[in-house]
Amino acid sequence: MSYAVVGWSIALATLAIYAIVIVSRERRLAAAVPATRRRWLDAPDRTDA
Amino acid sequence: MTTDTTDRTTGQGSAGEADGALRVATTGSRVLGIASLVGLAILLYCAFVWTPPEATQGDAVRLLYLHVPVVTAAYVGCFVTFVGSIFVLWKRSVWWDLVAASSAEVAALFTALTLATGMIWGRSTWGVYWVWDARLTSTAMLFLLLLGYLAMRASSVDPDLRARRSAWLGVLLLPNMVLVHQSVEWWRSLHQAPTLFRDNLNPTIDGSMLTTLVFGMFVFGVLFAWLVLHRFRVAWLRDQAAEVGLRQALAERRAEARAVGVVS
Repeated sequence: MSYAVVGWSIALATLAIYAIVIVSRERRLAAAVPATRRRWLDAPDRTDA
Repeated sequence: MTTDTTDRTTGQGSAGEADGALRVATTGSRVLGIASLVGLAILLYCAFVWTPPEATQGDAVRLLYLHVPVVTAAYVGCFVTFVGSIFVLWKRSVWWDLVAASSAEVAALFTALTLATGMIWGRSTWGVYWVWDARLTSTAMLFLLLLGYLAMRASSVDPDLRARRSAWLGVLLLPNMVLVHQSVEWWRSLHQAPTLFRDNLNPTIDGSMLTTLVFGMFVFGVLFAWLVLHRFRVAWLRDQAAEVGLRQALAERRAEARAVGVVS
């Protein structure tokens, strides 16, 4: 059982840290960009997919 | 619709940006995030309480309810990167370039977790963390290819050139994925043969174990989508921030030139 607990703990902790880092970076960058350019869908000069 | 506190008419932040950051969640990302958290809680209950120990592996099987969904999400990430790379080479699409890069980073994370959880499972079942088995070695190669892709993304060359070069690496992900999946069929392997995705699509497990495994794949699929969505926004915002900085610098130079012209 201990191997399973260790494996799950490592995976969930890694995913949680990555998620926190990504959302923090997103918030920091969003503050540096005008509101009209923050989302791809809202960008006035966006390039099509 | 964003839920931040920014004045949309001026594009300037209000009191909500006082700490240099703001809320960026959308309804879609919030739904995906909550679904991921609830799904993970249910999956933990299923993996550790609902399902019985396996006849030969014992409790080590509980690690497979994590390992298999994680590797499935890694495959999905590699496939999205492959598709994005094709569109980058074919249409020179900036959007697909950002999607491919975002997906590759999340796929690299999931591949690393695949290797880590596989090694822990191997230690409890085989007695060793690592053997140079076809499945393990090809998965390590896939991880190295993803790291190479990310290293290329981090290089400071012209963005178009960087997009094309990394797209060529992204295209190589598909044959590598096929190699990983088929490795247990093509070579004699210590790793077990496919349990779910067999030729006749007839799984070798059933009952609560099968339900938990399939549910885990769904949960990690949702989590993957949530992570890629936010990683895409980071990539998009970084490009926009660089462009805004460039425009500001140009405006300052023009203002300086105008001032010098007025003086002289």
